[in-house]
Amino acid sequence: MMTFQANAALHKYFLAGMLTFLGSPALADTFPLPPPGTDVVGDLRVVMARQEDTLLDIARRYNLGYNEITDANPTVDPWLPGAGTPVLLPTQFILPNAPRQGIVLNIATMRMFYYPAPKPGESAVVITHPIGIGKEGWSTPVGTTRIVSKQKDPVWTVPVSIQEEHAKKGEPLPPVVPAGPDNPLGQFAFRLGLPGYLIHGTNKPSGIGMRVSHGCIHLYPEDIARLFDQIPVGVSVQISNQPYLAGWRDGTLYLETHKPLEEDAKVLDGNLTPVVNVIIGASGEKRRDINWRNVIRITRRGGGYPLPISAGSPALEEIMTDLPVVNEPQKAPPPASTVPAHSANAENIDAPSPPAEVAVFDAKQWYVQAGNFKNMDKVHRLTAMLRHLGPPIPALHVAMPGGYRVLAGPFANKNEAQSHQKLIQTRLGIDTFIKPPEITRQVN
Amino acid sequence: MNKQLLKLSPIVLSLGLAACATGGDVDKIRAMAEQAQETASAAQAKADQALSKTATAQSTADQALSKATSAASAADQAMSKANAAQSTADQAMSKADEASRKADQSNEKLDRMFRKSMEK
Repeated sequence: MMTFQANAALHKYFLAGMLTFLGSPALADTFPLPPPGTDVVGDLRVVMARQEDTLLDIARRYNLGYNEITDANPTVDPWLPGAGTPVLLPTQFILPNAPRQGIVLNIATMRMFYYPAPKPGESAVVITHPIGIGKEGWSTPVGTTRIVSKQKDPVWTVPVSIQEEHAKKGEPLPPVVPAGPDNPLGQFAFRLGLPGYLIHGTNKPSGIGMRVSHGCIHLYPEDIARLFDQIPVGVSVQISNQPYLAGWRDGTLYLETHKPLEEDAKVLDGNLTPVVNVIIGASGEKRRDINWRNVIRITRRGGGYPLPISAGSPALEEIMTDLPVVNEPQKAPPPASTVPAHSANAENIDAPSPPAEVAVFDAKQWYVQAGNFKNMDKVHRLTAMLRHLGPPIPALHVAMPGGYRVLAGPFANKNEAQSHQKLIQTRLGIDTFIKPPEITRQVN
Repeated sequence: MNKQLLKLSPIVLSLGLAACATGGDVDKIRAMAEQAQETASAAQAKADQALSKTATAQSTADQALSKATSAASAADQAMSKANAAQSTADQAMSKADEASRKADQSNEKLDRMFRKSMEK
């Protein structure tokens, strides 16, 4: 047994390194299926954050979950990365140790791998997306099952236990939630052979990469929209829990380590044995050619992306400084509010996901004042959080003597403002008050 | 020198009065007295000069002492002010640390609430 501690030291190396610029961003969700004996797909990249970005925005643009982007960038504030900050994109994956067929879900890494059966004349691919999984106490079950049905615009019949849970939180749910923007199932759902468990979309996309469900699997709305037509009923679903993955690419063995789920942490935290077992299982006859120093360093940092552990592999610092940089357009994509809630389909899902709604101040409208700060960081943090709630709440900040006011809105009337006031107070635990229409100078 | 002058004066007087004394003797004695007088005056002058220098030196020393005392006092005051400033700076630093800690806690709480709000 060895004791590990969080180590973010390597992250600084790519901050200082000179990096190669790539031409344009690309969604890293579909890869050619590597031949047997090769297990690593994709590549690590770096993107420079823009002023308006949060790590959640960047994660969604590059098909990553909250856990992946934050674990790979432990020194970056998720809400205020800052313009020009290099952000590591962990868009390289070791395929889970499972048959490469149907759907494979790795709940430890919070990622789905779908191996569609190739059509005649087509090459085999693997499609991968980040997922949200069951929270502690409602863990997503591990095992093998199948897709037994699928449904567009699902209606959610809320189990009594969940109704009771929501009532305790002050957010009571009706027994049946109709399809629409307030439906937590989103627009598409696959029913699994495990009774009561679904793979579905979400009306809280910022929760992808978090433990947020009652055992169901969540996908970004744009991801499940794409998969809905692709995945046929009857496809096998393998649900596994593999925080440590080892696999080959070009004669080099890679190791990818993730934080174990909370309920597994007591057994796995600080225990090298499971990591060594995974490496031995993957290395076979070449187990003597392992750089164990790299193994220990990678396991300690647990960044959630593959790094080489074969003898003679470059030093980790060297890898981090040589990563290619994605050259993004400087202007942010249009706000989410311009995309109708039910328009997700194959035509619009290839566009980078927009940040949450950006509001424009209108003195004639109703607002909810969510904060009053001198510190601009706090202003940006709260504004960003409101814009990333589910469903997102439009938010802006206005100048006032001695500071800034964070406003949620605009809302058409007092009732609408009041319902959002309650929602903000319940979800973020902050005091708010209704701000009736008046003239205020806008800052941004 | 003055004592010698006093000792010579009775001799000059007694020789001047004595009938047996020659004019040459008296002149000789007078010359000796006058030389003694001059020597005494010169000595007095030197003594006065020395006294004056001593007084000047004393005055300079007094002034220097006064200045040194003032400087020491000023240094004490400066040290006291520096200590007070250091204490204020320490307090300010402590308050800044506390404010930063509270801000971090506030951010962590908000972040925790946000993640909780993402639950279905």
